[in-house]
Amino acid sequence: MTEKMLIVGGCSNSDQGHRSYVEEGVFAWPQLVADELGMKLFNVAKTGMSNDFIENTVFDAVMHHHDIFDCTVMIFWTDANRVNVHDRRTFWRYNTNITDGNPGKKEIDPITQHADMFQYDEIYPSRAIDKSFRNMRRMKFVCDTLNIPICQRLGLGFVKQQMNASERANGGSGYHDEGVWTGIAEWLRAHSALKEFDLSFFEAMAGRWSTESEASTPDMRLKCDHPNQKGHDSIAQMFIDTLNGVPMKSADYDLTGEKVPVNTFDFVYD
Amino acid sequence: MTKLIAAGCSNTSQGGRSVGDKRQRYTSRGIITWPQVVAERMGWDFVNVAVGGCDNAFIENTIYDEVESTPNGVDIVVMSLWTCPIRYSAWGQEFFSNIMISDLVNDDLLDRAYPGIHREDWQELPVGHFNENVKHANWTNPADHYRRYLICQLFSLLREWDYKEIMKHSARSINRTMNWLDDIGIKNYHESGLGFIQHQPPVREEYIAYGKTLNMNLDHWELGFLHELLESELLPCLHPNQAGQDKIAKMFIDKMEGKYVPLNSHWITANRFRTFIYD
Repeated sequence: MTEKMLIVGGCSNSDQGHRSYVEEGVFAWPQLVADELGMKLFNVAKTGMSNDFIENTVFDAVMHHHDIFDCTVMIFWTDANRVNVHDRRTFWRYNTNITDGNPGKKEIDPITQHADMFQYDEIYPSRAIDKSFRNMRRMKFVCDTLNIPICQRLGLGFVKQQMNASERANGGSGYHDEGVWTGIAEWLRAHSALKEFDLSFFEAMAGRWSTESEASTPDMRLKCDHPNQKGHDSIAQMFIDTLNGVPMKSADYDLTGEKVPVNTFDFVYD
Repeated sequence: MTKLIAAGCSNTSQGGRSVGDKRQRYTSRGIITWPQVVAERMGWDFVNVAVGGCDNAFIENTIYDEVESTPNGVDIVVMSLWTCPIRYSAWGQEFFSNIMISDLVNDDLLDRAYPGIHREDWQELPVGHFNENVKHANWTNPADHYRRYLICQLFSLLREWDYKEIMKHSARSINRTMNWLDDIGIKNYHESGLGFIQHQPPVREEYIAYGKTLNMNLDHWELGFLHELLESELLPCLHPNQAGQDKIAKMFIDKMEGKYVPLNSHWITANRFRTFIYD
């Protein structure tokens, strides 16, 4: 009988090596799921990386293991705004009118330093979001071709974090008030990929684990805003439910951000 | 009717966005790039999705998107002329060429690309240097300044990297595209326009050996097919002229018809290296 392997891709929300998990003794969801399902774990998630990186590392893992193990793939996708240069260095923002909002973060980021890139170089977040949907679509194709079950969920979402950060940086003005982000959100609401990947608008906007979503309630977060053990337990259950075809609840989402559902039990099931 | 989807970088793209755009290098000279040459000879429809300056991940994505958006029932043939691996695209919208300058690169060329800036100073230069202090005729807007700043940052970052990972990144795009197209039953033909070891660090043999392990099904992955073109087949900027485009078209048609015999002239010696100019 072929041994079962769980291949996991993602960012810090899935990376067991993230410093906070190590320091706090948190077991991240991939290990919990693997234990629950009796699978060997191959976790290629890495803190801070982009969706391109996630696709590439999971692709490599699948190619390497699919004819040796009985594989299952689970991916907790990250922001659409991250880019990696050749799968290494991450750049974080396309909207450079924003600041990081985290005074403890001193990393020099050329993209965030340049205030006008958005305007002059016509970087369109909608195209970046489509790029992430392509990551998901291509990964599904690979897995379907190889008869490998794949579960994909959005951890951070594609819009809300950028929208909120833009607001913070501009004191309530800027791209949000000018309708840029609102327009992007409206575009996302009607996007065919939501149906294609069984995503609620809420999940596409804010993700199923996002400090900006207000759905990852304080009792589920570490100080760094990553999931604590309770948060990881819930994420693990979400992936197991996804694998078993348990439908995710769907919530409406007000574009003003005023009516984000806050439910300590349903944060992953918006 | 068969639809040709042609992909690549500036060696394939027909033109730019406006008159005077440097990417009009072909149209302004009456040159027809190889996708149209192939399509006309074969009696096919064609779409050319190539974009000058792009990287291999972008080429992979353009092929994927064009195939995905083509209605079922259309007979598709994909031909792609891949580019060198040292490029990178941000969000698929901004391209950065020459993101690695090796010690082999001629300082004269460096000075042409980044006049007045010494390589050893790049890492220390603040953004303001590029916004305020550098005055050059071709730096016409802040985005240009910034692009160069970012590239310089990347240069310094790359010092800590293994060039093998850069090669692997492009090889994955190429192999993944080939495998995907094969899996869905679409005929596809590929060649490297610019090579994988064109801008490589000094230990050349090491990277040739590594490249062979990547199983790229390309006849000219080391130096690229453009290195097979004669001087008379190139424009001053080293892009192919009409004779060069015709030669690339013939290469693809020969591959399709099973007649292509890889040339043996892509042996590697120092004097065979050309430094590509991104005009």
